[in-house]
Amino acid sequence: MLRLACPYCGVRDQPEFRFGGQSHITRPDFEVSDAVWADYLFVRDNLKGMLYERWLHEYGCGRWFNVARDTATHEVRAVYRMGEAKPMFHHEQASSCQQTAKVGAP
Amino acid sequence: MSVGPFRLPAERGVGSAIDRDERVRFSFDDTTYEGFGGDTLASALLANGVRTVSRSFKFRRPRGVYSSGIEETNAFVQLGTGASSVLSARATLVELTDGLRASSLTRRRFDVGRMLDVTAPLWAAGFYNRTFIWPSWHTYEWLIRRMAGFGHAPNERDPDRYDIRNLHCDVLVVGSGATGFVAASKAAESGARVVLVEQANELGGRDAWQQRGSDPGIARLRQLPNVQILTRTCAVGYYDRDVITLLESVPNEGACSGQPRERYWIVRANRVVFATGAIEQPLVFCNNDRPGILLAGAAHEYLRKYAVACGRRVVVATNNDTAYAVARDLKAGGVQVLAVADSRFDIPTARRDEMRTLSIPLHEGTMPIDTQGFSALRGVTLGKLSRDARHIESVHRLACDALAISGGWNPTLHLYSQATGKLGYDARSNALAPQSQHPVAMVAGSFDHEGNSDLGPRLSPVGNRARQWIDLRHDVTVADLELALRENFVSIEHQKRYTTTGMAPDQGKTSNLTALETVARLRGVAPSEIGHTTFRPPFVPVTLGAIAGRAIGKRFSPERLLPLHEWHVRQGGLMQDYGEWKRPAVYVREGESRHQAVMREARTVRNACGLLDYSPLGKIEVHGPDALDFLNRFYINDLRTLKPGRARYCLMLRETGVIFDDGTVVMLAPDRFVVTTTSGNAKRVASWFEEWHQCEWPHLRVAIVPVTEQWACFSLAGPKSRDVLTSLDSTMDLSTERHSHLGMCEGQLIGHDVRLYRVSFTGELAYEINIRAGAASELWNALMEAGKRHGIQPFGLDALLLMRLEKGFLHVGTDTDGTTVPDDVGWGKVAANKPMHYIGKRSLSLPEHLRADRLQLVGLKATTDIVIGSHVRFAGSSEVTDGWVTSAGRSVTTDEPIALAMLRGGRHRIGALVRLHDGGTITHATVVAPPFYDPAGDRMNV
Amino acid sequence: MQRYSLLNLARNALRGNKDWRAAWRTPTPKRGYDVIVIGGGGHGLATAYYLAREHGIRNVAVLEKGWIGGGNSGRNTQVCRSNYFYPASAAFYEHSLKLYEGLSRELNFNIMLSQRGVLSLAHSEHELEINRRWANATLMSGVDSEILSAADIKKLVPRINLESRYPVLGGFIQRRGGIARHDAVVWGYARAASALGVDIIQNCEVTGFQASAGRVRGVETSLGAITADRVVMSVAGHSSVLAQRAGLRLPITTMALQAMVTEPIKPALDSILVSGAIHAYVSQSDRGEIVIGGAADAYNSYAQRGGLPVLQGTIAAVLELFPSFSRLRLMRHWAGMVDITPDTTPIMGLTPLEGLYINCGWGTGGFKAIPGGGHSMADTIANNRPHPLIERFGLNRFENGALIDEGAAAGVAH
Ligand SMILES: Cc1cc2nc3c(=O)[nH]c(=O)nc-3n(C[C@H](O)[C@H](O)[C@H](O)COP(=O)(O)OP(=O)(O)OC[C@H]3O[C@@H](n4cnc5c(N)ncnc54)[C@H](O)[C@@H]3O)c2cc1C
Ligand SMILES: [Zn+2]
Repeated sequence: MLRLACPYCGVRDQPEFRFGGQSHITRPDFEVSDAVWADYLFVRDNLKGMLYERWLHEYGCGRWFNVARDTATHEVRAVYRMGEAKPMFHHEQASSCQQTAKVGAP
Repeated sequence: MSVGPFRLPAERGVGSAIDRDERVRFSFDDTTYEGFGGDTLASALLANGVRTVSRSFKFRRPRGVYSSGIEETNAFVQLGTGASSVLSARATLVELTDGLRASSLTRRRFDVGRMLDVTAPLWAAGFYNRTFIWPSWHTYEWLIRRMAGFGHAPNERDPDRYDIRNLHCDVLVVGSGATGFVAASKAAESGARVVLVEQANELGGRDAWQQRGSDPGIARLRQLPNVQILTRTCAVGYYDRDVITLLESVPNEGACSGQPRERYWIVRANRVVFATGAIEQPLVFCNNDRPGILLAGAAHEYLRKYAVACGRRVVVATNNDTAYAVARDLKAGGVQVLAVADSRFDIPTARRDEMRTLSIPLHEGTMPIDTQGFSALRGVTLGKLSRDARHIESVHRLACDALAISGGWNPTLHLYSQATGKLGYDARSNALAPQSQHPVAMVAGSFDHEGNSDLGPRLSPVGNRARQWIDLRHDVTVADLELALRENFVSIEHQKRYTTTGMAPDQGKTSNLTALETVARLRGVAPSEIGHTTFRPPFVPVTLGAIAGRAIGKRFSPERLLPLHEWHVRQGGLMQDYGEWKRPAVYVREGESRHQAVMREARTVRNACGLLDYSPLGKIEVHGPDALDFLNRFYINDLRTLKPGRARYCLMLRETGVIFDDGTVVMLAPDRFVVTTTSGNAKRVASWFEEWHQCEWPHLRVAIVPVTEQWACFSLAGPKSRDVLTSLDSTMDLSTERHSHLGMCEGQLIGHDVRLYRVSFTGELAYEINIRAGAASELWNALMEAGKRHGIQPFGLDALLLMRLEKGFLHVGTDTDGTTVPDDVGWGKVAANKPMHYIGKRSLSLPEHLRADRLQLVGLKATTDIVIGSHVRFAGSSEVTDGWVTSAGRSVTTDEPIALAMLRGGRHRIGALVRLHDGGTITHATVVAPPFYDPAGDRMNV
Repeated sequence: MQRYSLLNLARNALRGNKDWRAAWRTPTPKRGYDVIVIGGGGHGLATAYYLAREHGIRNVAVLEKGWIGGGNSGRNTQVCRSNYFYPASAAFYEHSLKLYEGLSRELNFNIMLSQRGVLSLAHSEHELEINRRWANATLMSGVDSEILSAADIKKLVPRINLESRYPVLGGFIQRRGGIARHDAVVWGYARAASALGVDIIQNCEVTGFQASAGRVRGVETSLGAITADRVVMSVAGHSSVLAQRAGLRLPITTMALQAMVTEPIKPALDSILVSGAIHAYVSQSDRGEIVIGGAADAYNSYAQRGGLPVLQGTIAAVLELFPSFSRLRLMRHWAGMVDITPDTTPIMGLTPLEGLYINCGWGTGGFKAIPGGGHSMADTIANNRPHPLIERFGLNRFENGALIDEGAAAGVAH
């Protein structure tokens, strides 16, 4: 079971949250080609390693926030608010990193 | 004085766990025995000389108690019968209680079993892949299925209860042996919140019954306020970084004790210390499965804790130091120890001296290579190994009735492995060992303290490999592993799957390591090159009921009840599930069929008036200076032309262009809106608004407040509804001029604040009356009272949906599915004409959404009843299907069968005769343009 | 290939089973092949087998980074059925089921197909209507299907609790649906493919692609470069990762899907039950274990492990249907990494990189599709055009909006 540190409430169990997929996706303008639009609708990085994603604290404060999580280990590397820039890590391949996570304010 | 012929008298000073004053009667396979309080079923059976306690899975070989703990591979029994029976109980873990009834479920039917055993080579690994092909597997399967499995599931509901408990702590210590105790004490001293769990019913681990006796520190630990101790509690699962599950079995104090049978603990811990010790491993030799052969540590435990001798004439065979204490203590207990066979040549002098002092013959470089007996052990053949352990140089036989074996100890790393800790084969300890650091979990305890350093050989070099068992439960032998290798199932995972080693309920606790070493030897490589199979959770099998806890029955999913639930039930409302809500489908009266009742209700609405409890209708308030702009980004309708006090029916899409929801948008004031949603989507739409607001358009100044539960909502519908309404005490002017179709007004009705919307899903003059939920019943009763003279009746969802079908109104989720776009249901123009970039708009111009042959919503008429879900085919069509019926019923006004259907290019098929396919039945219908009733909408526009 | 039969079994048993030969060879990889199949799961192995058998293309290698069948093909809950809603899906899955029906004989390997019936339950009147629409769709496609009343279901599955929180009101069954032994399917294809000359190379991870002039030329592997003009990817949950190496982005999300089994018991459940509404399905294996599955853990994951909430929810759901299973014990649970597409329909066919073919997106349901997937991919590769049965499954469908949303067909408006 994942446990996430909501930036507004602190650490809570996964059932309180809802996953919202990859974050920092830019919604294209209306005029873009079908291919670009389809990419926006359906295609995500889905890579093994660091994923910048968004979660909703559904049964809590009701706020969306961002999480940087390693999809190979489920290790949470950072939690940050909507609209904040994504933190960069040395190696995007987080599985090799052992340094502790910068977990958002409890 | 002693209970059972193998029970040692009290004078021997053994039996720390039993209470000799408490006699306990129990039965096993319908024979009654006696044991002592504190016994386990296994110890009591051994004490009574019961050798065969079960039969093996494949060959039906007789098997005896093999261990004294969770690793038991043989002694599986069923306890009790009926609803409270326990399947696959390990006799080694069952605490003996008075009246306990256990069964081996084998009932001496070993005729077939013998056959299988004698023909064993036929049933070697993979046999079922090679045969049962003709005529088909189905022909044989029933037989195999009947032979497999252990015990019958009860037919009744489980009478017991299970609890789930949550726990947070700084340090979780698993295992209360010396190591666990020290870890827990240290952590506790530092002030940490500590939880110490122990699977046995007492603390202390092996030390508790070995020489050392229990530690006085334990009592001290119990006193500390920051320490919580759980006994009879086994850590079973590790989930992600820091979540551990425990299974606690609560001693049975009778079904009426009010206690749950088991508790499933979910622990979040900052640190986890696994001080889980090790599990003894066997030696492998010919016929190593006979009843009477057991692990040496178990023989020791039975002796010291339960005063039970595993036999009268015992041979001890080992490859390490730990079994010597067993020989010594057995001897001290008055049991004849015929010999200790140690497969090592360089046996420590201290051991040699000790055996010499006790006059126990010690054979160095010797291991068992065969045994005699069938349902009980009668003798063992010891073989003297060559120095390189590849040959046997001489043999000698001993007549004995028990053989205690020790092949070294394998640390219990299952949970650490589940925690993603890496394990590897450690050549020094001949066992698995942790190979990595984990941020939360650690393993404590040294593993060679059990004497694993410089182990002697574990596997016999000679003998029929088809009779050397690796996995006793699944009857997997060395020959099976060898065969698998021969067939190129080389990976250890292939080995496991092909031979089923370690896949039985004992989960390979005494077989996986042996299999690994055997494979290594057969392949001629080092065991460290083999890798190991994954340790899948749970560590020990866990009752399903415990995992679900109380989330079953009514608690499986919340039941949401209407404010007037009781009233509906009293009136004969047929309450059905609509998502989480219970809502009245129809009110059936005495002597009526459901269909008749629906028609009565609908006619009442069409002719006079009816009242519907519509409270689950989703309601969301959207306020703020940017509310209009915000909402306009969601709906296909242009809301800029909406006026305060007016409502509009609107559609909302997903970004893929597919219809998501519909409802009315009501403008209370330029910066205050209420939108309604379908009841099923109430939560989803509010959440959808929030997501876009928070993530995409945070700059828009809006507040989104879901108010579905705050407002009860009734639909008062029918030509007489205005009369009914105006006869109540009201502050509102409800004249058509002031409150026309799609108008909204706020005011007071019988002294309560209400919002009235003139929206109609029935096609009649109708009011949606919203009122504070607490006042719902007062208003409802007032309306029913006031409507009496017009013949008002409550109506349910069936009648509502039938009337909307007649009107051809869309029912999202029924007529639409996850592929429907606005044009498919006649809203294409509206969607296209709105100039803004609302959600989903871009997708509407993808090629697929512009095709002329898309499914389109049309009407059907027929002379026989139309069945919802029928498929439609046009005359001469070459398609598999041309669409399907989404809604159907009888017209309230004409009693004609009518329907709505999604048909391929349907709008161009008006007037066509089509075939309807339902199961094997084919009927006909004509495509028409809906609605079927009041096309001009005059009846609601009054 | 050494024949398997009862007679042979007996003869070998008499000789102490010493004469059985390797089920497949362990060749050293050649420098090049006509076709390289990446991924030794069911789909990869079946593709190789049909290439060799149906198209005479035998210079084929299957490269597997671990052990064959170690991915989802060896972790699934074995449900086979073809009662899909849309005609394109039904035709494809029916083709696959038909191949399954003859597969034990064709491969001379008992894959233990047990057609006991797959029963979908309806828990509300709305679901009953959707079930009927669905069952009729299946019939229109020529696939067997039967509507059952609650009473029929009780007769078929006496243990079921019809009065659960969401009562069982009815359902529909595909009697030809059932289960097959997952490992046996993998091994059966591997053995047959190897006998036809296919090289199965385990412990060989593909790490990149060689391409020039817009076409694929070979792959880089942990054992060195291997050339081939035609390469097919069938790596399930790893598809996005591998596709990225070829410069492709896929509409796929990789998530954990869990499965769980209880300790084995005597026969207690003959059919396979599926309940979409409460997110659980359940069957009993030939070994006697009650096999349980549910919904995927709804977040991206390559950890190959499931979470507690789904485990608990799924078990609670099964106990709703079978309260008498409450005292059974969970023996094992595990998860696979499933490759989920936006419309739950697979992605099969050509890619923008010439010579590179793709077979993925099977998500939670590609075991039943192994014969069909392998068969149609082999044909697609041999002829460099999509096999007619998979024309609609191409990657381009996302761009033109022609999704085949089987989930949506279940009447869910989102
Ligand atoms: C728990 C669970 C239950 C399921 N239940 C069912 C069910 O009941 N019915 C059903 O029809 N389907 C079911 N499925 C889905 C089904 O198992 C899969 O869709 C199917 O097995 C996919 O087969 P595959 O050959 O595509 O993938 P896999 O079997 O996963 O094979 C892919 C292979 O590619 C290898 N690989 C990956 N990357 C590389 C690389 N770079 N180089 C070399 N090799 C690589 C992997 O090691 C793996 O062996 C279930 C899945 C799971 C996880
Ligand atoms: Zn929060």
